[in-house]
Amino acid sequence: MRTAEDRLVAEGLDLLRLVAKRIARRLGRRIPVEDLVALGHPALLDVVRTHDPSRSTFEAYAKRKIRWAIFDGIRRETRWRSAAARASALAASARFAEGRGADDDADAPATQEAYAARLGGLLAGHAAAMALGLLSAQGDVAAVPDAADSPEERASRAELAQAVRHAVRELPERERALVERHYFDDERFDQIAQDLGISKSWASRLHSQAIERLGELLRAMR
Amino acid sequence: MWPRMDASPLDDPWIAAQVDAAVAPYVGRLPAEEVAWMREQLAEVLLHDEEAIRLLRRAQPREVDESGERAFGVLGAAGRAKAG
Repeated sequence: MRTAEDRLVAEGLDLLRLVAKRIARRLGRRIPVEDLVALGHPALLDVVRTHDPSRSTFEAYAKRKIRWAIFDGIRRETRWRSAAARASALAASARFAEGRGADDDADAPATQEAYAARLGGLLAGHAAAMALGLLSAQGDVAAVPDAADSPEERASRAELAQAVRHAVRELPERERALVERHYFDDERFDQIAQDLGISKSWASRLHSQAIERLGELLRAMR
Repeated sequence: MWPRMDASPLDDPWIAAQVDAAVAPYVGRLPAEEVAWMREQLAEVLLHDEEAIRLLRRAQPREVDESGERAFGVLGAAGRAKAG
């Protein structure tokens, strides 16, 4: 007879395949699904052991933990360098979404135009997060160009890196510190939160505020 | 007519314009292939992110048929994709 833990592992395996297939598709199939499943598999036992039903559903918790395990795994593997930048971009976009509260802008006017403006801000934030993720995966592109790029592409990337760095400097102090340390200095998010004296969930909200602001700044710099 | 099952949100000109505005700062600064990839990922956000789906539903200008019962556009495809 199967135990409750066995059932959760079985459910988790299904979710693992689902998450791996979606990430493979979003990365342009540059990494086989089975390799992504292997990267996410170690997170499964941790998910079963640490899930707290009073805080979230098993499905939501497992998907989130598995997704992060896969993103982290891709970034560690040098053989997937071409996919690593996209994985970093998707990770930044996912972190931006996770830190947004359900009641953000609850006081904003409920007109079609206001909703369109908020949608535009949300999309600009996701785009800014992806740009940050792409740039951070390649290091400081102004100093370390990708050998595969043409001189024109390198110059354009350097210009974007400069524009992003300039926009980041415009952020309020704590948001700037969070973004610079995570994306430019490759520091772990929980370590930065600890140094700033804030909880991980508050750091997550701060990150999303920073990214949305960054999206607006970059739109204004065009 | 309802959109095809494989329809992308980017097939809708209004949505494509919102996505194009979001990626505009990166056009010419990232390779065209990466910008195209970013557009596709923003389409994914519109299909799967709850906040984006809610905002899109309220923000997108709608056309209705003569009975007033059916909204055209990508929202039907988004709903089906989420349910699937």
